[in-house]
Amino acid sequence: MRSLFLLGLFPVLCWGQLSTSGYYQNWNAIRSAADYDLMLFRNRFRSDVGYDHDRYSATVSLDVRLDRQRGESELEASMREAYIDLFFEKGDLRIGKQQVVWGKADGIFINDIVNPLDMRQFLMQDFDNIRMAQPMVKGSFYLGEWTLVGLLNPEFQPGRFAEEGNNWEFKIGLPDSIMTPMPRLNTSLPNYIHKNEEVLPEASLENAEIGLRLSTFLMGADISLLFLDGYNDIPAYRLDRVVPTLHGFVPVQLDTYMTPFYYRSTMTGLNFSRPIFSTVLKGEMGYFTDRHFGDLEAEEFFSVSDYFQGMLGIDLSGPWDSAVSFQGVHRRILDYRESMMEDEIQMMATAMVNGAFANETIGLLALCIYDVSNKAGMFRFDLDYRGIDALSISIGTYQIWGNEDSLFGQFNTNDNLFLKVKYSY
Amino acid sequence: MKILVLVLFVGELLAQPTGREVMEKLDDQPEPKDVVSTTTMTLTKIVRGKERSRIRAITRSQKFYNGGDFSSKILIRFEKPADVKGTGLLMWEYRDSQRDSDHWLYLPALQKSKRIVSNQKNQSFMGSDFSYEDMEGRDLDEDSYNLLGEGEFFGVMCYKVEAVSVEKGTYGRRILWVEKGRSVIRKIEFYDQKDRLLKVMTVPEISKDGDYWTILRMEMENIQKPHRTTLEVSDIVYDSGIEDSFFTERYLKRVR
Repeated sequence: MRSLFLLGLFPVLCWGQLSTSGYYQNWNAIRSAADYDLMLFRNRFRSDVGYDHDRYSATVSLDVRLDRQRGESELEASMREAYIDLFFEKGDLRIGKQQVVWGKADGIFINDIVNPLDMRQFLMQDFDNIRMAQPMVKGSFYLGEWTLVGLLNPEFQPGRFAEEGNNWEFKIGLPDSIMTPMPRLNTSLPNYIHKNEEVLPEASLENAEIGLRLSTFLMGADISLLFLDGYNDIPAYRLDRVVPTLHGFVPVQLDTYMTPFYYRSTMTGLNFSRPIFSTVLKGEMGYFTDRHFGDLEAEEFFSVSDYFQGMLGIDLSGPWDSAVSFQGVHRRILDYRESMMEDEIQMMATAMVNGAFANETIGLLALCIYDVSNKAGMFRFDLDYRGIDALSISIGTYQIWGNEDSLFGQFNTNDNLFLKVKYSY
Repeated sequence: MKILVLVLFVGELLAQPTGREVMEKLDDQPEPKDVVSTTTMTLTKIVRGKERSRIRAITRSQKFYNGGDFSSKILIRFEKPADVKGTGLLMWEYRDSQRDSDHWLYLPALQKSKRIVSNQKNQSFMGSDFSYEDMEGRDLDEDSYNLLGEGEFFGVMCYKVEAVSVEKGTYGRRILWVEKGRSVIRKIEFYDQKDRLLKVMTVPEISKDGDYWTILRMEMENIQKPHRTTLEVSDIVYDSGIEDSFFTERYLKRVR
């Protein structure tokens, strides 16, 4: 085992095959609503290097991104993934920084929650960059039609969100930072919310996240049972202290300090997909225990409840070699209280058309995600020219609508037109 | 004298196989247990007299079954162009022709494999002039056959067999040119449902590797639009004993 590991680290010294691939991408977006400013000027360079042998392989993926938006530049160089695979007769072992993909859904995450999400650019992020790889050990065991996958993630990493002032700063999760009457404070004074530094769980075996996935092919269907015991990637907020500001002896305003913290939750899930007639029927669902929700009347500002979310969808062939997909999503807080900040039930629907025409020189993607509960949503249209090998030039738009306290509606001034150029090698 | 001519004519008729017999002989060619090959496709578009070409390359592994539920299993790995490199397509085809094959697509950028609709056999394969059906071939019983006569192609005599789909298919009919001596296809004319010539496939290069005839080069010309695809097969390995487990999601996801 030790020798295999060393061989993986020093691949060029031994037998096997070294491969490289990657791309350069330029992405420009102009706001198509008031201000009409340059929302994004991005240059990204990706390089994936792999080394392969019959019994093992090594992969390193490097990413350099230079963004310019709102007059500021941001340079980020990162190692997206770096892992070693060991192949055995009845199983595989992957050790290192990696992504684990569980879901069946397109464009939304139901039980595909192993890796945290990088939401700093929200919609202006290619889908393959949205998951953040984590150091993990993943073992897969194969027995006939059955596959059992076990995961161990010793170090929790939270999801990442845009910083204050960014075009894609998330405003939901905390009460309104200007003034929110909190019934439990029993006052109608202006209440200013402040966020303390977040508290991260220590990296330890005790805090490790574990996951299991059992998959099979049964009566024409792909079926997976999933279990994950780990930390929720999005923090809950605990009320820390309330400080009144006095005018003389009379309080005139309150300053409420809240601490974001991460908590454990388990997810038990089921995925399936099966062709039926000329379509593929697919589903994804998860039952989550001990989810924390903001609660204006709760002692510490949060309540704990079990939670369910599920997706049922259908993929079918459209005209001219296109693929069409429809998905319906249902989310429900199971022990709901009226004072919770989130709605008890959330319904979403997605529709997607994806196709390649004219001998695959023209690509088209149209995606609509509609938040039925909040009458909010987004529409993406992307037309792609691929007439030259390895080069693609895309023009498109994101259109976002809805009220400001909804997931999409909070970004309703971020409608944009974009131009992307990508060269792959 | 008249009797002699009549006897000779009847003898000629008796010696002439039927269209079905020509196709049965073609179908009776020895089939390998498995085959691995690299296929390079050159897609050429003709714009105002100038040719613009794009290259597609795949590695294809196929295992054939003599009994059981499956007729074959195929794993295709896309090698070129760079933006689709690593994409995998796994296909399980069943002996029961009424049963749709199962298809899974692996997208390396998303690290995700997904079930895809498999019944659209008329769709273009990787943007080429070949459809999935052209690449997969057809069962003998899916068509009825009529021997149209003989003709010379690439300097060899061929039977011309008309194949009409028993059920409504992608094409109205096809005319296959099957080499008389070696029983291999050298040309196919594809007609659309309105009986207009749609595409012409020619096979300029074949070779025999052990017991097996191998098409080394095929050209498909779209008659209705200025586009053609040249397909070249190389690095062919027969009967290497590929395990059943190779044609599973495990290997579909093993990109390199």
